[in-house]
Amino acid sequence: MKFLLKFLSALILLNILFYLYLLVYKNISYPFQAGPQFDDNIRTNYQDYINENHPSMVLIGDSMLQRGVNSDKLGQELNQKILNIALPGSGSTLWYLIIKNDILLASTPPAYLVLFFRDSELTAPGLRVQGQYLEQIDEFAASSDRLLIQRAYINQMNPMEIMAEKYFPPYSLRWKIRSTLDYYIRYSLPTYILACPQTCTNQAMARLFGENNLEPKILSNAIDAGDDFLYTNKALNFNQQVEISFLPEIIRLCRENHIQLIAVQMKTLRFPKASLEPPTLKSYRVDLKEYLQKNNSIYLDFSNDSYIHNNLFFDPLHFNDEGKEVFTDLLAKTLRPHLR
Amino acid sequence: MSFTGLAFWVFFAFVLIVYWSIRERRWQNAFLLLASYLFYGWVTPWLAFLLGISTLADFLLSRSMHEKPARTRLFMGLSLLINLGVLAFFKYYNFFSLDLAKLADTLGFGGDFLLVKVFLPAGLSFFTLKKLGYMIDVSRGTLQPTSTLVDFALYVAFFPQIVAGPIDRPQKLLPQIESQRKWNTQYFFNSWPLLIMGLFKKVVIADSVKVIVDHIYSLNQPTLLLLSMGALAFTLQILADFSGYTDIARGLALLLGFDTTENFNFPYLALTPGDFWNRWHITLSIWLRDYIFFPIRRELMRSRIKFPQWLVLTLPPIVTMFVSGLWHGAGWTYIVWGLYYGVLISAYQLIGIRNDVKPKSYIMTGVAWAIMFCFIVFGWAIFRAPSLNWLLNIFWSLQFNTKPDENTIALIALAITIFYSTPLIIKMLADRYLARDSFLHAVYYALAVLAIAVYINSSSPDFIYFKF
Repeated sequence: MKFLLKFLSALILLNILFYLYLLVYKNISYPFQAGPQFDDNIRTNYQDYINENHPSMVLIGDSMLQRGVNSDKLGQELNQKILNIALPGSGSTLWYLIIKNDILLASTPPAYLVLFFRDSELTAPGLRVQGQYLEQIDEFAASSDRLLIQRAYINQMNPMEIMAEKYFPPYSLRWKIRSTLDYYIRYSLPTYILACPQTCTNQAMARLFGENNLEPKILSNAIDAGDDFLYTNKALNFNQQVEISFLPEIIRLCRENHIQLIAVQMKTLRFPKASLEPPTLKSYRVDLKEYLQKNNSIYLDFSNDSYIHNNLFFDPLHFNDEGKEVFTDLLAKTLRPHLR
Repeated sequence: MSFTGLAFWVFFAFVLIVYWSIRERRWQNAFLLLASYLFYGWVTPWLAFLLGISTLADFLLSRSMHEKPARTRLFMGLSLLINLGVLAFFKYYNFFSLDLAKLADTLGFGGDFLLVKVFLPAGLSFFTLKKLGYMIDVSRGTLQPTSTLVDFALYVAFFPQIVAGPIDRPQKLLPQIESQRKWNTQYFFNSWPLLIMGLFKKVVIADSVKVIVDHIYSLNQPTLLLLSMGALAFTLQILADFSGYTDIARGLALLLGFDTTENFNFPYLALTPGDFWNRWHITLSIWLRDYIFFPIRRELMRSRIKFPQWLVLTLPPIVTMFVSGLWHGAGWTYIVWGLYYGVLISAYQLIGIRNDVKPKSYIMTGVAWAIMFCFIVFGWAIFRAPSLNWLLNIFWSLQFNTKPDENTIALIALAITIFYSTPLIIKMLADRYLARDSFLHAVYYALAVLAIAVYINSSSPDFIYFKF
C-alpha cells in the first residue's frame, strides 16, 4: 500500500509539473482541445501554379498516381493542361484539404479534378493522418478546419482517448514529444560523429531504404499490412462510412465551383483475381459507384480491368515502367468520352 | 485481442468483477474457462473449437491412462499423434506445401490445391506443450490426472497464458485451479508493477525499436555492419517484447489469484549458453530439459552400448536445441538457430565450462560476459533473418567496406538501441541496489506510465511470440 501511495504521489506530481510547464511556458489552456492544433500557415504552391499556368485538369493521389500515370503523355492524349499532385503517403483527408485550402482558392480553378484511390480509401478519413503524416496535414490545414479535426481525429478515438487528450498532458502532447525524441535520437550521432545533419541523414535513409534495395516479399508484406485498415468490415460498410468521411465535402466543393469530379478506382494485387475479393469489397464498390453517380461525379473502375495484367506491377500497389505507360494509355482512352 | 488494446482491458475489467463476485470455486473456474474461450476465439471462433476438441481428447486419454494403466503406452501414443500432428500440420504445412505441390504435379495430380495457405492458430505451440507435459507426467505416474474436465480445460486455456506462455507445469497451476480462491488486496499490490513494466517494455521499448529492425532486415543485402546493428537492436526488441508480454500475463494471473512462473531472469547477463537458457524463456527451457534433454541423456548413459563421453555430453543438448528451433518456427533460420545453441552448449561442456561457472576475477567475468553476449547477438541475427539464403549472402559477400549511407543508418540503429535499453539498465540497477519500495522506484514507475501514455497507439504490432 505504501509503495502504491508513493507511486501515485510521484505520478500526480509529475503531471502537475507537466501541466505547469505547459501553462507557464507554452501558454496552453486547460483542459486541452482534443485533436491536433493547426496554425494558419498553409502552403499555396498548387494555387500559385494554377494561377500562373491555368491547368484544366488536376490529378490528385498518392504514390500510386506518381508511379501509375505519365501526366505529360496523358495531357497530350487528352489535349489538356494537367497539374499532377501525387503525394506519396497521402490519403483522402489530405486531398480534401488541398482541394479546399489550396486549389479552390486559385483565381481559375480547373475544369476537372481526378482522384486516384484504391478500394475504401475515399471513405477512410483516419488513414494517413497521424505520426509522420501529421506534418503533411499541417501544411494544408487551418485552425478553422473543425471538420477535419472532428472526422480525421476525434471520430477515430474512443471516449477514453478523448478524455486522455483533454485532461492528461503527456497523452495530449504525445506526437510532439515523440517527434522531438525521435529527432534527437535519430540525428544526434550522425551529426556529431559523421557531420551528417538532419537533411543528410534523411537523404541517406531515403537512398538506402529505396524500394530497389528492399526484399520484394518483405516490401509486399509491409504494404499489405499497412493497408489492412482499408479492408475491415467497418471500413467496407460504405453507407456507414460515407457520412463521416470527406467524400461528401469533396463532392460539394467541386459542385459549388463547377468542377467535374472524376474518381478513378485503381487496381492492386492484394486480390489478384476478382474471385478472391471478399463480398464486402464488391458491395462497397457498387455502393460507391451509385453514390458518385447520384452526385453527378464520374466513377472509373479499373480494379478488375482485364488489360491490366499482374506483370505490369512492381509491387502490390505500384506499376512498373511498362505498367505506367499501359495504364496512362488506358486512362486516356477511358477519360476522353467524359471530357467536354 | 491484444493485451495493449482497449477492447482487452474492458473485457478483463468485466471478467475480474464477475469472477470475484462468484464465491464457489467450481463456478469461478467455469466462468474463467468461458472467458478464456471467448478471448481465444474472439477474432476466429473456430480456433476455440479446435482448442476444445484437442483438450477433450487429451482429457479422455489421460483418464483412460489412469483407469487402464496397462494401455498407457497406447493412449500416450495417441495423444502424441494428435498433439504433434495438429502442431505439425498448422506450423509446417506452408513450409512444405510448395514441394508437395511439385511432387503432386510430377505424379500427375494437379498440385494447385495444395498451395492454399494454412493459417497458424495463435499460441498453438504453447498450449500444445502444456498438454504434452501434462500427458507425459500422467503416463509416468508422477501426476494424478484431474477428474474434472473444466479444471483441465482451464489449465490448458487459461487466457493470460494461452497465446505466449509462460508454459506453467500442471504441478504449479492445477493445484491453484483446484483450490479455493478469495480476493486479497495483496493480489493487486503485487500485480500493478508487473502490468506497468510489461506495458512499458512492450509499447515503449519493443515497438519503437522494431521500426529500425524491420527496416534493416527488409534490405536485399545489408552490410555486416548494418546487420550487426540490426541484430543488436533486435536483441533488445525481442527481450522487451517477450518479457513485457510475460509481465503482463503474470500481472493478469495475479489479479485472478494465480501465481505463475517467472520466465526471464536477466538473460543477457549470462556467462555461458547453458546459463542463458536457464534465464531465457525459463518455462520452455525447463520443459525441454525434463522431456527431451534428460530422457535422451538417461538413455545414452543407461544403454548397454558404451557410448563415448563426448557423445553423451553433446548429443542431448544438440537434439534438445534442434527441437527448440523447430518449435520456434517453420524455417531453416529457426532450425539453424536451435542447432547453433546446441553446438555452443556442447562446446562449452566439452572444454569443461559449467553452466554456473563463476570466474575468479571481475576482468574474467567481463570477458566471459562479452563473449557470451556476442554469441547471443549473433544467434538473434540468425533468428530474425528472413531466410537462410539472405543471411548466407551477407556472410559470403563479406562486405566490410561500408558506404556513408550505411554508416549513418548504423549509427541511428545504435542510438536507438542505447536510448531504449537505458530504462531497462536503470531498472536492473535500481532493483539490485535500492529497496523495492523506494521512492526512486515509485518515480520510475510513474515515468513509465507517462511514457506509455506518450507511446501508446490505437493499433499496436502484435507480440513477436504470438505466432509460435
